[in-house]
Amino acid sequence: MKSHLKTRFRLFRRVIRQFFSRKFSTRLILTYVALGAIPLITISIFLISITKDTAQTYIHQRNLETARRASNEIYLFIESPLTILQTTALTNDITQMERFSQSRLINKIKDENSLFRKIFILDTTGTVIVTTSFGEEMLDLSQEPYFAQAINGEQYLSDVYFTPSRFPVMLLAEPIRVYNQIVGVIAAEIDLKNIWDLADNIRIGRTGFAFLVSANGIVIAHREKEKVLDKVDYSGFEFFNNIKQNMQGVITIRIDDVNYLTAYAPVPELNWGVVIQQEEEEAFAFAQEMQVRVYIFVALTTIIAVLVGFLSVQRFTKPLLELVKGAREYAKGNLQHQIAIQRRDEIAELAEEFNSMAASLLKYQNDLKRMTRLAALSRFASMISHEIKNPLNSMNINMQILKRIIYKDHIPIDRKVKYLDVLSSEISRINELVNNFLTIARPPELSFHLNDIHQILDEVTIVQEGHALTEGVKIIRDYANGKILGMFDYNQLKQVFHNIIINAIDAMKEGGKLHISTKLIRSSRQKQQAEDNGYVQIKFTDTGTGISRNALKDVFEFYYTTKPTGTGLGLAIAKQIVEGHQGKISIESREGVGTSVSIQLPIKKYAVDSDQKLYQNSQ
Amino acid sequence: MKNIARDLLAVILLIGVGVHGQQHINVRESFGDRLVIGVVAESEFDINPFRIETSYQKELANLIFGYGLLQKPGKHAINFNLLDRLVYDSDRHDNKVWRVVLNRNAVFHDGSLLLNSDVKFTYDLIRKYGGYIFNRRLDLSNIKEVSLEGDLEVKFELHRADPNFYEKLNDIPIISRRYYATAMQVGYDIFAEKPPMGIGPFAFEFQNKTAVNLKYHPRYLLGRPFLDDIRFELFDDEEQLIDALTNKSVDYIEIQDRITAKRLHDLMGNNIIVFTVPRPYKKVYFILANSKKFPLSELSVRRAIGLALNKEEMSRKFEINEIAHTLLDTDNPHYFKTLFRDEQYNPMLSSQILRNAGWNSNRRTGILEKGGQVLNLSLLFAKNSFFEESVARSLKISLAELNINLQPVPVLQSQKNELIKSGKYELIISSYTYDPQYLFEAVEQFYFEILKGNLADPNYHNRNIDQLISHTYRDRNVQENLFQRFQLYLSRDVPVFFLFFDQRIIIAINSRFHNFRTTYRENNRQFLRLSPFENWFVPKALQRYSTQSGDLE
Repeated sequence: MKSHLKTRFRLFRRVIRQFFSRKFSTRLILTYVALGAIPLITISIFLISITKDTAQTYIHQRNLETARRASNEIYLFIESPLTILQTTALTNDITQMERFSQSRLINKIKDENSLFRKIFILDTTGTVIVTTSFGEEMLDLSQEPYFAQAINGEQYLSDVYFTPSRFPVMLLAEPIRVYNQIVGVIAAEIDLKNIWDLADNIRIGRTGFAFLVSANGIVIAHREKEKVLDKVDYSGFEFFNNIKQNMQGVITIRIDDVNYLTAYAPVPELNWGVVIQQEEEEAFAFAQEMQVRVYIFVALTTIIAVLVGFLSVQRFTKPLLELVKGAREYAKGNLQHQIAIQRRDEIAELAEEFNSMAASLLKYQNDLKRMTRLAALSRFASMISHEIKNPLNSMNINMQILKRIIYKDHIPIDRKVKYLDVLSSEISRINELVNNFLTIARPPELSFHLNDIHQILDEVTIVQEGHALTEGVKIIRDYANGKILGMFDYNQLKQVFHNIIINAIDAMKEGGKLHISTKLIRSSRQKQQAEDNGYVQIKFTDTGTGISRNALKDVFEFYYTTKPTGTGLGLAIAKQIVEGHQGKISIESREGVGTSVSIQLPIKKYAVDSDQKLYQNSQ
Repeated sequence: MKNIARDLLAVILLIGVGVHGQQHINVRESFGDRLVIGVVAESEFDINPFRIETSYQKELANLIFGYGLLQKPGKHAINFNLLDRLVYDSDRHDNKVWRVVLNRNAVFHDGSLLLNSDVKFTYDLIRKYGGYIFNRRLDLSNIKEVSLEGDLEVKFELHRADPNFYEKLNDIPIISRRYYATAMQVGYDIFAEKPPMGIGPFAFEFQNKTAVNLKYHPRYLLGRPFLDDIRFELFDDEEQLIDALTNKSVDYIEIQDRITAKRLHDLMGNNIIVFTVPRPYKKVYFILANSKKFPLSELSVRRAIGLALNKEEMSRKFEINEIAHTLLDTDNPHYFKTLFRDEQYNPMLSSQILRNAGWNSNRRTGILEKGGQVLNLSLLFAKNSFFEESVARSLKISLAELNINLQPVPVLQSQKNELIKSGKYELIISSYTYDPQYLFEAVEQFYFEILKGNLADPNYHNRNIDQLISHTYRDRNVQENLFQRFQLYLSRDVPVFFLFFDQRIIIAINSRFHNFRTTYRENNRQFLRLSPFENWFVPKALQRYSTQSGDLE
């Protein structure tokens, strides 16, 4: 358990750490969404729970209220014939106990009120003296409970019973009084079929309907009339027991695998019950729909919150990203880059500051370059004066010697030519010095064409192989497979490779190995989609004397050389050319072990495309 | 947008519910099941195809014996021209010699073929023993000779040319000469002696006092009927009949009034189908007064009652369109229009007539009396008939306004004819059905059998009517005179109070039956009619009685 908790905690910590280790913009978005969504979801859950409860309570109340109203309606329905009967019992036509008048009146009442199935009058012996049900006169009904009750002065309301045609009816009886003396009983059979319409008119939704149960649980009005005709008994149901105790309520009943929401209310005066039944699925469809709506609302709100958060954060972080991009450009040395932010806030001010800083830097950089060049020129002037002085002295001496001996015939011509050779050599040396000077003063202009690195390297190594052999150096080429094509300046790169290989051979006076390798390094997919298509790495590794750590940091400086005859320009110019290719040059060295120069040249995408076209053409 | 989405959802749901809610019952013609027809008994089942008094007797006779050479359009929608089920060909010569060729595939229930000798035998039998369908007398006296050619050709030679002779043969079933061979000697008693057998779609199976069972005729000339059985059941009263329909022991009934029909529809809902078809015969409701018994023997009392009858009110209550003033309906060309123009409900005049006649109300009871005799009347009506009981109640209330004590007494429908014929009544609600095409016969029958009751000392008789009837009997050209006088005397003497014409038959059918009705065009109006019973069917899924599939193969 403890270890489980620990694992959980670790997991949680990792998630948090991962969360906070994300990019600022992502974190900002997540934070923003979390701040918006968490209260929203909390409120929504609360809302969903109270919506459901409220809707269910409302539906319960509604159905119960319908049942209560129906209960009142039904009592009023029964009260109506009861009132008619009570009033009739008081009229002179009835109290005089004169058959003709009684017959006329009760027939008229029956004719005008379809809810009376029959009306009849009993005398004090319980004999039918007048009836609307023709042919039933003189029947002895003295044993009937309604007669016994009514003749004792009490109103009688029977339970529901059924006619031979299976229609539900009930019987009402009322004493007929003359000055507190009971002279007979008037009774009526009420056709409860009329209640059917009342029950039929109560509809809730598609499945909700009302039915009526009598005091003994037999259904007396139902949507499905056959249930009434078949006298379906509901006395075993829980709601009926509650109705009997004059209780009302709402319960769920399962019938034939369907849940019914059952609201019931008693009709206390009659001991009946009104039951409203509705399929629960339909009854709570409203609650479900509300819930679904809240879910949709929450989902939509969350999506909107995320979107708004994302857009806001993006709006906030986009200038920051512009700043980052600008800073990167500056870092690359592209100080001409301008950070464009169309805003008027602090970030815009910051961008302005960045731009002005870059402008200043560019100015300083140009100044520095100029100053560096001037310094180099100054250094070169002093050096060149020194360097030129030597060949000039040498030339002067040799010319003077030549002048002296040129007419001396005994001196062999070879010797004279030798002096001329020296002169020529010194002139070449001076020429080289001048060329180098010009190179520094005017950086080379690169001319890019589609070239194969391996081809360039091969051409250089072929030239240098003779030199290498004399020095006992073995050049080992370890190229990547196939061509490595790119937009390169052929001549300039040749010079770079020349310089590096010469340096390497010079560093291996005792002989050794120069290992030249190439490697194509593909960039990531993201970069491929941009403009890069990877780069080529060319590595020159020798087993020479190596360079001391102190010297290593200055190797790319102009006029820095450790060789007695070196100009100190080779690697500096190489670096200039490599950087002109947007590439990088680096050097690693350990004294006594060897030196490794690594060049990385980018291969532009267009170059690859061109290569493919070229390749296809060559096919 | 929200609404569109909601509507779309609703449509999808509705389609879903509709598809789900559709009850898939294969409503295809199927053999099997039984039709139980319930009727209120007017008389016992007496299956004589040539003596028909009640509509169920006619229905039964037609189912067993068929309709003869020609079927008259009636409750069942059948076009007159398509009725020649038995007739393959016919022609005539000078309207005096008629020739009919029978279809060769009509088969009796016993398997024998219908031949021309059967037709001759039937008509000879009728010529000898007569017969009637309601008021229509089967009169074939104009036939001079029936001669036969081959097996299927019948030639009728008439005394007098008759352009409508062929139509006079309608609804006269043809019976088997071989099966009823002794009928010429024993007469119509043969139908009581032998089980009925004919060429109708259903064959007689068995019979008891309250039911007749018919079974399908497998070789019926129009093909085997869909239903296996038809059962006629008799009930004492309408309440029993309705009860039987509600508990589904009966499938088909005819209801007397619209109120009951509506109640029944409310009760049964979709389990039954209630509709009306035009009544092919005239059915008139009336209250017959026994003018032999006091106080109805007094014309003033009868006239007072006549004026106290609020027929308009009653017709509104029962939604009956046509009030009856006499035996003839208002569309009948012989209806005495001017005589009844001013007849209307007038209780004041009624009361005055009674006072003038010396009737005064008793101070204690309030009932009219004269010379110690109280104006008490009894009115017989069909027990448990909502319609007749309501009419009785209306009349009771109306007469109570005049201080006449009317006591309605329920009797069985089947007892009514006996009571009328025995004169044991004061007032009785009854009805009379007649074919208006045979109006003379209707007048004659109504006069002799109902008004006079075939009694030696009849309730009502009028010597002039007797004479006019005998004149008309001899010479039909004087019948107009009879019709006029008959209406006049009945209006003057008031032996009967005509109430309403019932022009529609209200039918309630268990909804499992199909193809039981069709529309029928008449006088540029569409009416519903019943299909012939042989076309009724119950889809297999709804059948209550198993099919005897063995019989079908």
